[in-house]
Amino acid sequence: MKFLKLIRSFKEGWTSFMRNSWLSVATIIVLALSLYVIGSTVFIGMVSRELIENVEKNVSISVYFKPEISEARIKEIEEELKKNPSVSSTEYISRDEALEKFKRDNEGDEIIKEALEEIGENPLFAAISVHSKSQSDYESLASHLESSFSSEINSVNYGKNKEVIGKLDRIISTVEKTGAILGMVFIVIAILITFNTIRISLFTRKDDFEVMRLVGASNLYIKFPPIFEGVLYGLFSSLIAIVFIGITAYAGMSLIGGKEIIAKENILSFYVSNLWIIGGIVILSGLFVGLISSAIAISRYLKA
Amino acid sequence: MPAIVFRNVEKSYEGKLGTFTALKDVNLVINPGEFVCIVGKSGAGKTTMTRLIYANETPTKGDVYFGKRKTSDIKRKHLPFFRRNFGTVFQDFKLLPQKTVFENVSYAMELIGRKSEDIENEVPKILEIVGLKGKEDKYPSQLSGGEKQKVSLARAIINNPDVIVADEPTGNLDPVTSWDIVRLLVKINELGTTVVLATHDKTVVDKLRKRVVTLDGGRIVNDEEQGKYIV
Repeated sequence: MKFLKLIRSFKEGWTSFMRNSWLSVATIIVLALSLYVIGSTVFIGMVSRELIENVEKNVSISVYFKPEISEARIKEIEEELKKNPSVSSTEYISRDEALEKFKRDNEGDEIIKEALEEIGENPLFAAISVHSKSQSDYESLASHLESSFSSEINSVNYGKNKEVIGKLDRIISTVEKTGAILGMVFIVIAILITFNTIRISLFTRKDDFEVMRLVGASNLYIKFPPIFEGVLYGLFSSLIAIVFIGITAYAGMSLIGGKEIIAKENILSFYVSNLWIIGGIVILSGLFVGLISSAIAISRYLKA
Repeated sequence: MPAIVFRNVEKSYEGKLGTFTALKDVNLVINPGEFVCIVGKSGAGKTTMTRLIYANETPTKGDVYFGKRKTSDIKRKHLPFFRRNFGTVFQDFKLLPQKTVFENVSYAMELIGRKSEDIENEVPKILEIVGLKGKEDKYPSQLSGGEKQKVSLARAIINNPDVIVADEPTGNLDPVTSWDIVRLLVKINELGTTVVLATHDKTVVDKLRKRVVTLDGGRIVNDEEQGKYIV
């Protein structure tokens, strides 16, 4: 019998949801907006974290050698570095290759072209680009290079990269923390607004609850349908928010011309491939807000 | 079937202008299967008396019993279950506006867990008895006053309660429709259900020739078998 009553409560909640369509639409729109902000915040946090991981993957130490060091010696050093357990790969860039790359990168820049012609000779150094297996090894690798080959090395540029990456890391951590705080604030706002909207909806039906009690309905039997309605608000709002976050991701992709900025995916593909996390958070938030708001609202009417 | 007993009952309300006593020194026994009219002018205490019967209020002094149960001892969470012993009919109908006629009546069966097959069988029969066949899918806003009261009555009797409490059920109805409703109450009483009818409708009371309990200023001033409306 309890199961039968539960089914009837769900059916009643669904019927009420459909029959109060305008109020349902208003509540869903309000809640969907809040869930959109929460979901977008999570998405932006994930994109930022992915970006910095990609940047960190491309970090390398560039070791610049003094002009008098021979190519053979540089290649000897490269072989030695490859044996280092922290090193994942190395790349030798000769002085000529460095110059060609520099010219390509600054093609069209007349001032640089004139400067090079003025200098006459190749001002660039031969270098070895070293990739580490782990981010944490770069520091020690840079120190090892500087101390072991100090007489042959002109400079090691890890220090500058480290600063940039450190800054980026701090920015993204701040973005994530801000996003988390904003997310919490928006959940509270969502609960308050949804609670108020549901309360207004229940206010218009408060006479009905009195009638139900007079006819002999228990508090639980009266509570369940509005609570289930709240769950439906949460569910539909979540689905709308998920779609709109996807549309925003697509719009973002269109803005940057669909270029790959995250690994080998674009923003929309990133969203779709992480939909289970973002969608999961949005749906759980929506169900939580809908359920809590309606439970509190109906309990207040039944206490009176 | 339990009797309804009022023992030295007083009911007062605290307000901004002081204490208002709605009922005083009320002693009354309503036996199972009786048809009792509670009459009196507006403000005499009729509605208060009916509320005390189905425990929507509790007495300030004295006790109200339903059988051996004292209504003031019933815990709040048990009240809905206690109220299932009663079918209530009100002057303002108290229908659920977003439910159809069928749903308003079936709601009373659903909440006690009756099977869907029983609901499908019994609700149409009751609606036919009260004269609402063909109106199952109408909403209260689409019904006349008399029809709404018939829905209310159908809901009140669908679960075969021990007692029907009708508080001014004909208050908003014309004389012909009023008599229709009262005739249904008489029919229900003939089948064994106790009926308590609170009314200030003199015509109905005089025609019924049932027990009449007269209230004046919160006190019982007359209690007569086959009584008349004397206020």
